[in-house]
Amino acid sequence: MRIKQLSLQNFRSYLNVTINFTSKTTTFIGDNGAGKTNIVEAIIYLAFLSSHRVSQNQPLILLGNQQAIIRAEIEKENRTLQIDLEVNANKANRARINQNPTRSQKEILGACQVVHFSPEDLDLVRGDPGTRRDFLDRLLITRSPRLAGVSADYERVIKQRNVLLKTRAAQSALVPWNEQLVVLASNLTAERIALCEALNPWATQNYSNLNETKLMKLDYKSSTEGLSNNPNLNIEIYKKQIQDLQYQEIERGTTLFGPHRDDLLIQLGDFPAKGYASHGESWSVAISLRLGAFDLLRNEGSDPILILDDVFAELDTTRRLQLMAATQKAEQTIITAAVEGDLPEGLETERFYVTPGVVSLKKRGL
Amino acid sequence: MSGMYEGAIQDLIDALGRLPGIGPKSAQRIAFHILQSDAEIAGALVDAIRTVKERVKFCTECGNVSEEMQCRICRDPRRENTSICVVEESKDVIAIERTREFRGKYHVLGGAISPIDGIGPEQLRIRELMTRLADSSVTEIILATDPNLEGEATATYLARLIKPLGLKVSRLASGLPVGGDLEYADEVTLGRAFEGRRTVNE
Ligand SMILES: [Zn+2]
Repeated sequence: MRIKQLSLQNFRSYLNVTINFTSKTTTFIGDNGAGKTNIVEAIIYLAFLSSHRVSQNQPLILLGNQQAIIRAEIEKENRTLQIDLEVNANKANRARINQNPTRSQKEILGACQVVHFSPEDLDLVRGDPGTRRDFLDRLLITRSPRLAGVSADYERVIKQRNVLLKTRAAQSALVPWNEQLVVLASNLTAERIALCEALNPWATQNYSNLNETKLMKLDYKSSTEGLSNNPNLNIEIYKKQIQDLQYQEIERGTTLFGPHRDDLLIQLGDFPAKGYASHGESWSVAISLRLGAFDLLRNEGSDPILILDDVFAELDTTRRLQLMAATQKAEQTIITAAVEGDLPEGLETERFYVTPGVVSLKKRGL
Repeated sequence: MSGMYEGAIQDLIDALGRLPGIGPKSAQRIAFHILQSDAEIAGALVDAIRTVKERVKFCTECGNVSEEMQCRICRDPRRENTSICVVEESKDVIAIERTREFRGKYHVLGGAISPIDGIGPEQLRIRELMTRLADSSVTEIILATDPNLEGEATATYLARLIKPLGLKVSRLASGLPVGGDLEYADEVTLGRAFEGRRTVNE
């Protein structure tokens, strides 16, 4: 798939900008803070209905406004889809597909699929478990948009249930939420485990392609033992767990099990990457997770847009070549860089020059 | 956005802006529309609002909106007393009436259980429902709460509460748009969900 045109209104620093993508690879060049990552962020928002940088909508909206608009023309299997998304500060977002209103913005999920790699991905190795869960869940949504609903419902059930636990509510009040919690948790966990199993060979392959000697391996680390990619079996295990933890949960006033407490365990040889990986190895792991995801999606018949946000400056030749090879496979690649010198030699790309609020085909002052 | 106009017009914009689904821009557009329309049209709107607040009450039996002590449906002798359909809001009564699938009576809860919003069973008309069920003519309860987390939780809670009474309890069949409100389902879908309702207490 490819984005042919992207228009932003009142989005971040952009009052009004339209970008036409005409090449296989497009690069946005501009100083830090000029707004090139904002363009990438808008595309990511279309793909996941949330930003990768902030959890609220307000920071995405140009100061003094209540609404931003992201409009994209996407070409997918020779069809053109026009997506219009209103990002609202104080009410639910609204989306249109080919001018037709949708019942829920979630209907646009799947229209725009991306794999996004940025320097913050070092946190996939070093950061807390939430970063890695988010990585898995976003990949799940890319593979199967239905799961956006499962993951959102799961989070809401946990919030509802935690209010009851905190106020020491009676078991009879907890039961209706327990039933839904068990079903949602079983599904989400099964999907995450299945994803880890599917992603593992692709991540391992990418890691060894980077001339790394250790074996990279992914494992899903759950707070509950015995879970698998079978949601029906998980239901029985979680039902027992909820019984076992009944008193402890009321005492602690919070839900003590479930996928919101799990982690993605990344092994390098005999050791976990977290705490043991060198700086170079951490970069290799981050690249392998992202390019592994890219390869997995392509192998399953998707054709995601590859976004490389400000990463070339930090990488050595081997790692740059690996990313360059991925851009050859992608139907569309979008790159950002602070200066042209950061780009790998031999990269064929159209270039846009970004200054605050403006995206131009010409360098400023020329 | 506030304080852009003087006195009365800004008061109207503010009042409209507090209504559900009306953002600041719509509030401004509606306010100026009212300002520019005939005094008669504006007067009719004011009267309609005043009348609805004076006349419309909640049915003492089912909790539906009504101009009398009892609503139109509860007063209708042709409606069967053997089944009660439990819904969250009065607007759900309208949605189900449109399907023409149901000949019994309703019970409007006034919302759904949602601990984060401070709504528990005590905040809903559940005690009134149990009082009605004590009347022996009722044999079936249909739980038609919204197909979302809070609606499901409310249905589960009610099913367990009603179980000891030995009544038939059923839940609308799946197929309704998940995560949404009952009112957004079209007649055909809702009618089908009603027909295919499944018993939840074995
Ligand atoms: Zn009534």
